[in-house]
Amino acid sequence: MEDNKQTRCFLCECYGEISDVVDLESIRKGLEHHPRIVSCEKVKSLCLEENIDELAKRIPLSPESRVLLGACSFLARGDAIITGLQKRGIDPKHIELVDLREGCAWIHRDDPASATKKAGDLINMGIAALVQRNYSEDLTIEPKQEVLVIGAGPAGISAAASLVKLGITVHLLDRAKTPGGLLNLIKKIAPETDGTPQHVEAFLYTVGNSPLVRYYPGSRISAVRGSAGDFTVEFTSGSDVKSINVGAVIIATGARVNLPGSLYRYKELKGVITGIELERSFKGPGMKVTSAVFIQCVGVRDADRPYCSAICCPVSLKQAIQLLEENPDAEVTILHRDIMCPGSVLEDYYRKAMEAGVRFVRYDQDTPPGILGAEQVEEIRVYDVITGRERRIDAELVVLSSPLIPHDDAARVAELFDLNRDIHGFYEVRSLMHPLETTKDGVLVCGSARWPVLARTAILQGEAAAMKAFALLNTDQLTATQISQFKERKFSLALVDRQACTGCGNCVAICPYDACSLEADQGAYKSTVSQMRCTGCGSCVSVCPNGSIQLPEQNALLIGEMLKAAFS
Amino acid sequence: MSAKPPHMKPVIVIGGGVAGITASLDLARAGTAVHLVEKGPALGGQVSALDKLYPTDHCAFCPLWTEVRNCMLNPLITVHTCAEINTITKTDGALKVVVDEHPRYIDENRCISCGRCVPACGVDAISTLGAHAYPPSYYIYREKCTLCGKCVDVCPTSAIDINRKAASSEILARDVIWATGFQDYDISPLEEYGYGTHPDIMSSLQFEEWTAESGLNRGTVVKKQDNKQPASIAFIQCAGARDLRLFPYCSAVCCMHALKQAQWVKRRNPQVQCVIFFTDMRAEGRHYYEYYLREIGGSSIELLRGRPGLIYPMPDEDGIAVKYENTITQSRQIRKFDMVVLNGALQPSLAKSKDSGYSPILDTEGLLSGISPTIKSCGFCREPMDVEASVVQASSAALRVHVGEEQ
Repeated sequence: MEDNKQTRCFLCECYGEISDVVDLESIRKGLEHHPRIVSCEKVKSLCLEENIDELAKRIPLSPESRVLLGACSFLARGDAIITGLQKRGIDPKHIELVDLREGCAWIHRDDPASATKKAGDLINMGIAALVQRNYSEDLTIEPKQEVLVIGAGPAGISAAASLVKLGITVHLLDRAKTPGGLLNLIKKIAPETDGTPQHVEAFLYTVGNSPLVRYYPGSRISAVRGSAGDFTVEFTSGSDVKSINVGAVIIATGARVNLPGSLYRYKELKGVITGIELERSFKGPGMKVTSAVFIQCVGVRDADRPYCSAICCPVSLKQAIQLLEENPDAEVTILHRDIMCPGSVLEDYYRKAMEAGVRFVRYDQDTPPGILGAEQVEEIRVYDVITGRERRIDAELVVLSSPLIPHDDAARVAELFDLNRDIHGFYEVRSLMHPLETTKDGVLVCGSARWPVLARTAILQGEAAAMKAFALLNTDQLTATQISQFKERKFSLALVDRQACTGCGNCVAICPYDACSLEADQGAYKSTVSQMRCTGCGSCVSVCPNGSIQLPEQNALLIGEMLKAAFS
Repeated sequence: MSAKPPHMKPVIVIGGGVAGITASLDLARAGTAVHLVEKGPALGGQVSALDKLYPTDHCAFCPLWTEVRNCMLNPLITVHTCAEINTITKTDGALKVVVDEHPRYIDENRCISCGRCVPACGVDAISTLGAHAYPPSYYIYREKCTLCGKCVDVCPTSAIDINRKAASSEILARDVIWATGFQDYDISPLEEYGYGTHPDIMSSLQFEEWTAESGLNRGTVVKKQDNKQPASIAFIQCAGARDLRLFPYCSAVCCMHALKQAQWVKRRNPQVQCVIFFTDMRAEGRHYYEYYLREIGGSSIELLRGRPGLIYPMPDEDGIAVKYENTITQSRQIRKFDMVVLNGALQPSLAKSKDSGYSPILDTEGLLSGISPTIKSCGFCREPMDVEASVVQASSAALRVHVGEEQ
């Protein structure tokens, strides 16, 4: 089977960059009688347009034809050669690039003999690789052009409304009875200067009125199957059990406000309330006080919750301004550890609060403020780290600014969708450049489920997630290669030799992507790999006791042959 | 890839940094043709000039390179480097955009990076675009080049053509996305920071370049003055930012940037003393506070609250004095440092398009945030923000352009 593969070898001199150090002529002579090489020649260069034209003419377009290029690194011009040949109809899978320039000539400039030896070994390994390499078969599915959005808070409704604009049918699930999420608890959104309230209103209108939105309030997901392009999600909505088929999932489940417990004598003294309780009175009768103190970082940025919840500072600024609007003569103080208002809009808002008369006192984690009073809070005692003095501040009202924490069912949702969570319980994402893609293909996360954010940012993230889902589904034929392109890696899938598989289940236990499973096959269990889920990480290969699961691109035979070639 | 057919008219994305790249890729994947116009010779923007990224501590190069390559290879994206917007005019149902492309004397498709042109050049006008540039190529800086032609003679692949002239192309576009990012700002007018009075008082971006692993010093920290290791470095936060005289906004990236730089200094040279003068330590982003705790707890970086009142070179070039107030004792103190890194003065950079009724109107802070709803923008030029936020906003801007909506 191997012998009908015809390898043509081209060695690039790179205008002397390679040939001045590496003795290409001796390598060429050595390859003349190599059983697997049909031709071997030196060329002045390989990467210029005219070279690639010339090269393509000499490579027959037959399935047996293989090409070995001894040139430069893929990151240098190697990429251009392969892409150029691909454009001229040559399958890049049949090309092996060996780096003779950066890896041999340049780095061993002082030692031509060793550089030549290394180049020869690398070429021999390349020839072995070309003969033994197999390729994963690509799988194509017709993606479902519908998207599931979980959570109808600001991120979720923004994602849903954006998908409607893109012409995609949206299934919007929410645990609550009415859309809006945490926004339902608050009187006004801040800062209001950037049009966020209007956006929210427009989104809510779309959610309520668009024929493309299927809205399921009071829902709970019970089962998830499938993978990117084709998920089946079962859920209960009220008393109904439903099942839907979607191509992508956007998780916008939000977060909840932590309760302060007994911190700062909460629930013990009258007048010590949480920010959410203050919002409730703003929505209701209003809150008119003569003096109020906000305490930031309550139960967060400490040993138990070592993170900054990001939204509490701007929220307290807003509430402080609201208190001053209700009573302009009130004394409103914010006790903080750092005011977190990055950027221009929030920094402006901070300045606006200062101009409105809000006072700021910085305290330290080691010296938290003390609350004084018998039944009703009367006074706050705080060590001001800037002046180094203790201050006493009259307080009729103490507002505890608590962080957002992951929802109680975040773990359950993570398990259903097979998502990773960070140490705080928020959903983990792929990378800085892919900040909304979860570790699972086709599942995106936005809003506070990912990290605490204000409504303005949640909206942006919802739109961005909608765009990402659309980009994935905007095709009639979704291939595993295409999905892998979203992951910035080469496409490869684990392949099981059913004859050899003993059904031990090691691969099932170790697979981080839930791609391996055991299947009954003629009275025995055999491992099977979901092509759409496999990422080609190779974990299963390393635990298989008899080598019956392999990555075709890096199979054991290939690596063995390459090693043999290197050391023979 | 059998994406659905592209829209008739393309979209222009101005700026090839992380925001511009992401917006272009998202639009292309959604089926819209894009012209990506970058002022500089390579894509990547400010991130490509960074050594490491916070909070991952990964090299900036890795996540960027794949995206830049995807951009260059995407059939729906036309990349214009060394290009600037000349005019944007409204015509019937479209925008007529004139793009000026400056001559790129070295053809990046022919340059094999052999470097023979560099010693041939008498005026030091040729250099690489850094190890991170894609495609890798040497580059002739127009402003230094005397057009002597010596490089042409030594180039083995005839990649250099110094007779190449500027070209201008006219594109009928559906919409424009501004993603022009930011640039370093010279804060010497704020005299108290002493910028320009001593070689070792530098901006944080200059410090990043000076100490980068892929840079001149291969990651070691030395003084510019005498190439010796410094004993101490002061990082001054909010220098020129959160300052009504210059940039009233918070530049959003500098707190973490300084922490990152200080901890990399510590990691590579543990004996160097690092002090960060800060106003508020804004470690509010995803996993930023963990980074802050790790770095402050583990590596003895000293944090001092407050903005120094005066920074000046000590007599006899013996270090730099930083004068600041100890608010607790209410006394003025002077501390000597070997290097001072000024963090904060990042200016939103906008390609100046000649006034044609469609140039962006900036708000009082030089940003695009509060402007006319028909102009779409993303990234730092809209509001100071970090990489993650820029990428998110780019996708959001791409959506709004794709569906033809006002932002």
